[in-house]
Amino acid sequence: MGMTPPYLIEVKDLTMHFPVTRGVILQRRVGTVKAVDGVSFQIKAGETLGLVGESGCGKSTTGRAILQLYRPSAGEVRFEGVDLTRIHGEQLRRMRRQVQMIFQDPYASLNPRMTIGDTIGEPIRVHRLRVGKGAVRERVEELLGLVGLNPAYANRYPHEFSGGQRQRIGIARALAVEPKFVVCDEPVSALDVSIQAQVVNLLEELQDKLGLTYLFIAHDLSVVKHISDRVAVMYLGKIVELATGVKLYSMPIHPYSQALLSAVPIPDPKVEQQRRRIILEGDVPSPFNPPDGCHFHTRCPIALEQCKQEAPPFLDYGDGHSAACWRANESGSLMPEVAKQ
Amino acid sequence: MAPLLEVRNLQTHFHTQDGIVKAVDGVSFAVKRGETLGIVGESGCGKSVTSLSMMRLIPCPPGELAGGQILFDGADLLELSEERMRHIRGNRIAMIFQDPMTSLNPVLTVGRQITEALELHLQLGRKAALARATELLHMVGIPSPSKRLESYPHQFSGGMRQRVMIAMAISCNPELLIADEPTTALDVTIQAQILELINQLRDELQTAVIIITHDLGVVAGMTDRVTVMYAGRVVEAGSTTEIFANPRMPYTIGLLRSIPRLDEQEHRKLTPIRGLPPNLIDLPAICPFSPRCDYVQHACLHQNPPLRDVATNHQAACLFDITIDTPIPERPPEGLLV
Repeated sequence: MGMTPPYLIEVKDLTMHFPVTRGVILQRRVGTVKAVDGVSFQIKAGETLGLVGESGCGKSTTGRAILQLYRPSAGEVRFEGVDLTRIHGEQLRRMRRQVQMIFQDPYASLNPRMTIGDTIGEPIRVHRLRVGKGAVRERVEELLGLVGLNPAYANRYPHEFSGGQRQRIGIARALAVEPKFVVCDEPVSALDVSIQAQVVNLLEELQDKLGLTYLFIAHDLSVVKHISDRVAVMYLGKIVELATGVKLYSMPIHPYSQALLSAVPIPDPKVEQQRRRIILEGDVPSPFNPPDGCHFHTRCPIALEQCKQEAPPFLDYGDGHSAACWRANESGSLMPEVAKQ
Repeated sequence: MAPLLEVRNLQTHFHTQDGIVKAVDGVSFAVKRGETLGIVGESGCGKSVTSLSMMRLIPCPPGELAGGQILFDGADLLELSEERMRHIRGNRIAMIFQDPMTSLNPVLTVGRQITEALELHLQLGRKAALARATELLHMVGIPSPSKRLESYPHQFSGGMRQRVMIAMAISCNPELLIADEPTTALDVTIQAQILELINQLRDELQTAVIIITHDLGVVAGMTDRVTVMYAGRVVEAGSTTEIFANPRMPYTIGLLRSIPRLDEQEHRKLTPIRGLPPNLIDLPAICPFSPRCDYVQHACLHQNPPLRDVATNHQAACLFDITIDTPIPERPPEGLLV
């Protein structure tokens, strides 16, 4: 008997490079987009890890590469100790039952020609979790009830539902195969504020009830901090900081995390009047040609010569609060000065 | 000081196969020079239709500006000829649209799109217009502006395109700037840059600004006063500090309870608003929020409550004196199905 590994998910040096080609018939490779460039983290069973960052930072690609929707260029993705990047065919298909995904766009991720009962029932049939029409039907109705929809809706089509309801259907489909790990890729971004809370609460309740483990990917820091135990901040294909939500908010280390957090508006005018924003200059550089050294040095207000030359190591600064910055020990006092100017 | 813009009892309807959609149903608000007003609400509450009505950009048919007044500097915009309106639109009132990807013309250079308004409204010559366009791009923080004038919209990133939109909007020094979800499509660090820019312009040019958004955080940081819309109506209005400190309409209270805050130290379970916004066709004469309201009473189903004064500078459309501290009743009153 082997020992139970301490983590449900272990990602090590995950790298996802996409080739950029030119020419129609004679395709030449002219470069690489380094969408994910050496990302490592672990997630415990029952934990939620949040992954935040701005458009194009590689957060969605990380989620997809973990589920093997893209086969990673390098690195390991261990699920219960098994490296998913090394298994294929039937073995991988069986593993896929354990790892599922909830997609961002509830309008595009459901087949408009299938009733929602068929949509949710399909994975049950494919993986033979229930045999016989009646048994599948029963399970579908149970799942609809689980996500707070009327089981009698099974015969309806996606267009008959609102955005929030569709997202519940997407959640029911992901849960149909009884997964242990779920990647939630921007699951509430397309929803109205009052509906977002309904879906966030549902995800939390399901986690408690079914013991699920989540990777929660979103660009809205307030939502990510709310739902996650720990939060990882990504910038240009790399994780720059990882800490518990409260720690990350109260004492961020990386200058990028500090700028990102200071930019998030807080719905309270009294708090807003007191806050100083760190306004970053310019846009995120292209991942096709990321800057040398620390990827953030082109926009970093406290960058040194060293930052342009060498990429900083990702180090633990106590209690699992890790960051990749050459000035990690002084950034906490330097950045507020920048904001005052 | 008289307000620069005063909207009185605006009615914008759309005639559809299924009936008349009263997208904006008796909306009133005002904004002064140098002031920022926030209009808050969710999809379908009528906030964007309100802004398009102010610009007279509602396609008629199927739309119809069915009633009310839009007084801009004393003149009712709804009474003006299309010719006169064209002198105001883009010149004295300008708008930043939500989606920078689709609001720019893809086959014209950015320079051409900015100079068009300058030549039309300010009668500048070609050269003078280009010089002013360069200056504008510089103002909104686009690097090497004279070179970028020759670029097409697809050559810009989302944040840069939004800056181009802002440059176009402020090109004629408008007295009123309407920003419809100006940062929704952008990342937070870029959002911070753009909002900072709008604030600067307001302070320098004494522009009146109307920000239309669903983001209560943006409203808290940017605005002097807030108007909350629901189902085509104003349900709460007042100064920003007052509304956030002492919300009086259960819908506003619900919104504030349903969003997580970055600065909270402990995990607080969110309280969502149950149900969905109503269909705007044939709304019955009841409080439109009553089917979702935690504090619903029988009286809520007898009339659509009018906006009433609940404190100085603060109106709410609720029959009862509900505050954020009012405990949620465990069950609805006898005979009310929720």
